[in-house]
Amino acid sequence: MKAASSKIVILVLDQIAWILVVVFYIAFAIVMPHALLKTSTLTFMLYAAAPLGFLVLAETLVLITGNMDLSIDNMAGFVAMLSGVVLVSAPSIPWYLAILLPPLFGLLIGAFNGFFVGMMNMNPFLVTLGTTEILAGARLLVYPGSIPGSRLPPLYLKLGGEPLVAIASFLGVLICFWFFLKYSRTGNHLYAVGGSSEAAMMMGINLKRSLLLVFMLSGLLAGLSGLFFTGFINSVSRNLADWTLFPAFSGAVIGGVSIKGGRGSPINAFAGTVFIGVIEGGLTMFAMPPEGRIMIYGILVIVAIFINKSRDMARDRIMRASG
Amino acid sequence: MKNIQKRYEGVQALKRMDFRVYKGETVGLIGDNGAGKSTLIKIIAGVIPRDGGEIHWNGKEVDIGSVKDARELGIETVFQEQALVDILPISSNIFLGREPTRRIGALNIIDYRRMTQETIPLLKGLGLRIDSPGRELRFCSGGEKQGVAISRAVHYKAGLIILDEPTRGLSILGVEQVREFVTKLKERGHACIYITHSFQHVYSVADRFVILSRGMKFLDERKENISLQEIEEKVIAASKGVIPEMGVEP
Repeated sequence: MKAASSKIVILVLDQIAWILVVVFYIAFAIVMPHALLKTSTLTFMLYAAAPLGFLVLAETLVLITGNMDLSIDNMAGFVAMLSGVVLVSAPSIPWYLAILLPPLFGLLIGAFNGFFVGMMNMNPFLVTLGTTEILAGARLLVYPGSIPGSRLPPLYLKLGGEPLVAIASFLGVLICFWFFLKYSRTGNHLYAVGGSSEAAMMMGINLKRSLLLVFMLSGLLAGLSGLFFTGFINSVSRNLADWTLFPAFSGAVIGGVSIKGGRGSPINAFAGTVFIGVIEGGLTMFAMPPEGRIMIYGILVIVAIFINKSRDMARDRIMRASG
Repeated sequence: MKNIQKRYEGVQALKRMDFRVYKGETVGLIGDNGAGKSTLIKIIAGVIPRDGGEIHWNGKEVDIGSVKDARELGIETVFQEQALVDILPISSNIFLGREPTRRIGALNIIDYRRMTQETIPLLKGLGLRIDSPGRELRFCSGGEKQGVAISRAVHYKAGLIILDEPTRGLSILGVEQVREFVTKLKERGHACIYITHSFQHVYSVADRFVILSRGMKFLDERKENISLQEIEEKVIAASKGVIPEMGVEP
């Protein structure tokens, strides 16, 4: 009986993001029932969260290996701009190749991060901090303005511009990554790397290759985020994906990914994305000005770390007691 | 192993070392810090290359260039605790880096069911009673963790198991558990090299003792011919650097 109840507590702890989703949604709905109690609002929240969801997933992967990627927001912005410029100057590129550009550019920039963190064994925090500054400057260098959607291939915009397509694509990518992490040996080894890189290495897991891979995947997802943001706002604006790093990080951590590495899954990333979606939706309903939003994202990071810590402590206590 | 040599930036870590382990035999490898124990073991385990000498396995000369080479021959090293991942389940730790897979269409996916099924009898074989292989390793005692690490080697049916300081940092109960594990390994016919500097722990289980000092063999004696007290005297003499009758400092 005791074992069963502690299992339930652990389940609640692991799914705390969903509980927060419900709590916040109800709270918003009480204040604004006419706006929030509609299925179209729910769909819109998820649709609006999808581009950010790719960043939550990117941060989830990197956190699983015990690392951090601070460059994903500027990477999404830079890659969207670079792809936009390429597509404007070469309009003959068919749409199915065009949509490959952002993830491909992201993959390459991710390899840059992965090279320094994995191969050169450099601090991931500082490497990706450097990268994010390089990308912020590079975006202005590539094109210092905005590219309207009318100058981009219509189908290129469709992925992020059509609610059901965007949500389905995001869920599809989530499922692929869930499968990769759980059932492939390469994916599963990322948990061992995050749990103890030394042990992983001693047991024959290629640490350098694992880190290179995870930063490349993070880049790929940041590229997808850039692509979906472009469709969502129907243009490449000069501040596309700005201020998304903190919500992405908070989403991953509130979703249930451990900051210490070794724990987390794309299911957590999904929970975190929906949570951030509800918060964003609520802020939009209340017409929160940008400065307020930015502050709330900051607060969310601290709340996320607090939840993470309390959850770890509670889980340890229960597991130790239940034997 | 014959005439094994290893040099690190001017320091001769191993000098013309001969070392031999027979089938099913447990050898206690004793020595002070810097005596050359870990260098010797790393060469056997394929972690570092040797500078000179020959390695023979089952009568044939072999070349061990990597941990993988050593494993293919059937040499498994049980490193100290650092080769375990606390946050992962017990079963994942046992199969870490060598997870069994099954095919689904074109994909090779990890076979979790097989990992769970094989874990319980494996641990039971070492005398450990752990009924939930999905439990995170960090909730195991030090002795149990060592058992998990040792059961890896048992699973891969290693001919030679190298135990690197298996009792370091363990409680009295943990040390006793490790002693039981080694007894079980002997019963199952695995040869073992048991590295330690606490010779008391190894005396009851080893068949032969090798004491190293300053990169050379100081003593190599079967248990019948030497008492615990004599070993203690030899170990102290070895760490003081008294030159033994069998080796001459160049």
